Amino acid sequence: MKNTLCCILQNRLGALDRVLEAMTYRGFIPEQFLSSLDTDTNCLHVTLTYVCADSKTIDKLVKFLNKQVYVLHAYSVESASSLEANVTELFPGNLKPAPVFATQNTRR
Amino acid sequence: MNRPANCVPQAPQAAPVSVVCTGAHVVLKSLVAEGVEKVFGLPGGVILSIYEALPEYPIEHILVRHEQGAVHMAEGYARSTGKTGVVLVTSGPGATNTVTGIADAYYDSVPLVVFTGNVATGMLGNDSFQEADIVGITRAVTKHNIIVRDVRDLASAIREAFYIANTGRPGPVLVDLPKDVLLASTEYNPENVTLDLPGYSTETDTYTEHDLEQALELLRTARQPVMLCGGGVVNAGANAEVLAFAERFQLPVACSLMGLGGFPADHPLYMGFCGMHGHYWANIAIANADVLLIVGNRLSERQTGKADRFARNAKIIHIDMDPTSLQKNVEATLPIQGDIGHIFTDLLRLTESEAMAPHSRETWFDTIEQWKARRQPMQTPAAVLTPQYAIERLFHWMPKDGFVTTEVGQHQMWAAQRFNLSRPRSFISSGGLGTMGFGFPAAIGIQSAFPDKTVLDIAGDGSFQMTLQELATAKAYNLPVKVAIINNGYLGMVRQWQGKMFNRESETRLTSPDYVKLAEAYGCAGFVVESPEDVDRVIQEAFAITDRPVLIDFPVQEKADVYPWVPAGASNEEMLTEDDNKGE
Repeated sequence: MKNTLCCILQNRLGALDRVLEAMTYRGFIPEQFLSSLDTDTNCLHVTLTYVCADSKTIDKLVKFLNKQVYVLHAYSVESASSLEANVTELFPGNLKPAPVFATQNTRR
Repeated sequence: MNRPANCVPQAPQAAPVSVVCTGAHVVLKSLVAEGVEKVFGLPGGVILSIYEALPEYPIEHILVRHEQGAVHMAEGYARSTGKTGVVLVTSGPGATNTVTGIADAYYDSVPLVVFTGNVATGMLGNDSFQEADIVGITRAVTKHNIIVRDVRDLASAIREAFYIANTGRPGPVLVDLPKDVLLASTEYNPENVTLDLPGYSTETDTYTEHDLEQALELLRTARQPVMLCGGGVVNAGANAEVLAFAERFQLPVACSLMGLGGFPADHPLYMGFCGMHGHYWANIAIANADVLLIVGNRLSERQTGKADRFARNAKIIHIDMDPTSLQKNVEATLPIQGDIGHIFTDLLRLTESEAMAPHSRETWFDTIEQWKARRQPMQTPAAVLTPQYAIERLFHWMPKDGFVTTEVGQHQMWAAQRFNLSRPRSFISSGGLGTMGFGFPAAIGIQSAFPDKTVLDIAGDGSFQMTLQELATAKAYNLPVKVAIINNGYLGMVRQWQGKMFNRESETRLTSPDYVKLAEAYGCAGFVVESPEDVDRVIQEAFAITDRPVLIDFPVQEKADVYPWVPAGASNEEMLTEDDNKGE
């Protein structure tokens, strides 16, 4: 089954590494990868497609990712279609981070 | 006023004053601001600026002989005090030597902040001398880690590190400090240090009153309930609430290795230690429970045996603050996420007017007693000093306000089975990672925090030889740590597994130095127990020494095995006991 992992990350050093390493260690091999930076909020929006048939393994990965300090939100959806077409749907407006972050983040 | 030469006040304001100072001073000022009193470390090239400034600050530094020892000492300090342990080491090998300790802290949820030095930012990635990508190396075994590339970010990074390490489920945080960041100057004002962690929440309580009512209903109607306490009870400081609840509902209680001390070992409801080498009756009670209340336990395979057969007759209520621990290894009927202290406070409030009749579970307790009576520990042969007997006597003479650490292996399991103290944070062992060499430096860390208490490391000859160089550290600070070496001349647990699972022992025979001479060479006291009759006398003499470290060598029966034993892949009900062994 093809799935898409969606993550909104605080764009700080090491944030993306934690996501990718967690996936690698658990045997998730990405087939497609998209990312874009929201410069207003300094959030990195990441989508990765991968094949995984075991929903429990996916749940565990998503729970683990949501525990990471720089991960604002992570979730997985079933998706067989092209990522480009779905990026807007995958990151609906209500997932924007809290205002405090948008105003205070100046970290390199 | 003595003021560091490179630390110049900006304006004559009321304290806290904003100052311009180097990154090295920012590190030390931040530690003081965090309330750090003690740091375990070893200096090296790139962090010389911190060590140059260190004497100007009210921080005690414990100079170790190996960086792994520093991390285990910080773990012992943190686990015994509840404070955050702090480590300071240099770059390259100094940093990589901390990895085992950091991983140990990660798997056992120990709050640490580990500062590593690194080469200057301009040299990163050049394969410079003593350069290591320690942030990359430790990413999978830290709760969080960061390299600080700009001195202006330093104070916030340290503030965040302490906050992350000691909130939520505790864990180690590594802060990597390039040399030029420590030498650069910046303005430091503790009032301006902010947290920028929008993705990090410390609010773990997702449970509702309805969840608690459901749990209570299960427990009210249970005929054979059991409570299993894990390390989360100790970390949450919720032992009083958990005890009160167990008494109110008359729940027999078993503890995991990390949970030992979370429930008083002398309490009538306490069944003992459970899991792979747990007490027979505790494991069987869990296997026969109709409701199992699991508190603060991540249910590793050492705990559950074959997971799909763990407590298969029970409705499982699993309470944990960490959502990743729920529904991970064992499917719970009722997972409840939240702070254990909060949950049990609420459970007690909801049941304020309830009180189980003292004998309402009489049949269940009688059954457990019968299991217990049938499986009393093996009697000690009179002529041979057995490891079990030595450990039993150590606990007999152990002051009730003391601390016990262990290394990893057979002695660790025998110690867990015989643990008899009743305070949380009094039994400190490497549970998740299973780090041989943990116990001795951890004991040094504890002793440094509690210089007047008896701190005993129950060690194996294999484990002790992994970090024994810290004898020099213990002696240098006159920390009277007691090390009891259960010396069977083997990597005993490995030998046991080889013998039972592969029918061949291979590369497990060990030689040891003369431990009495070794102790004396380091300026410590050394004893050897010549016969079983000497055990009590030697322990008393050793425990009476309070001005230097003490080694006690117990040359024990070589091939004793730990029982009960749940072979890997078997269910807890299939555990082997001494009786099974006799039949072979």
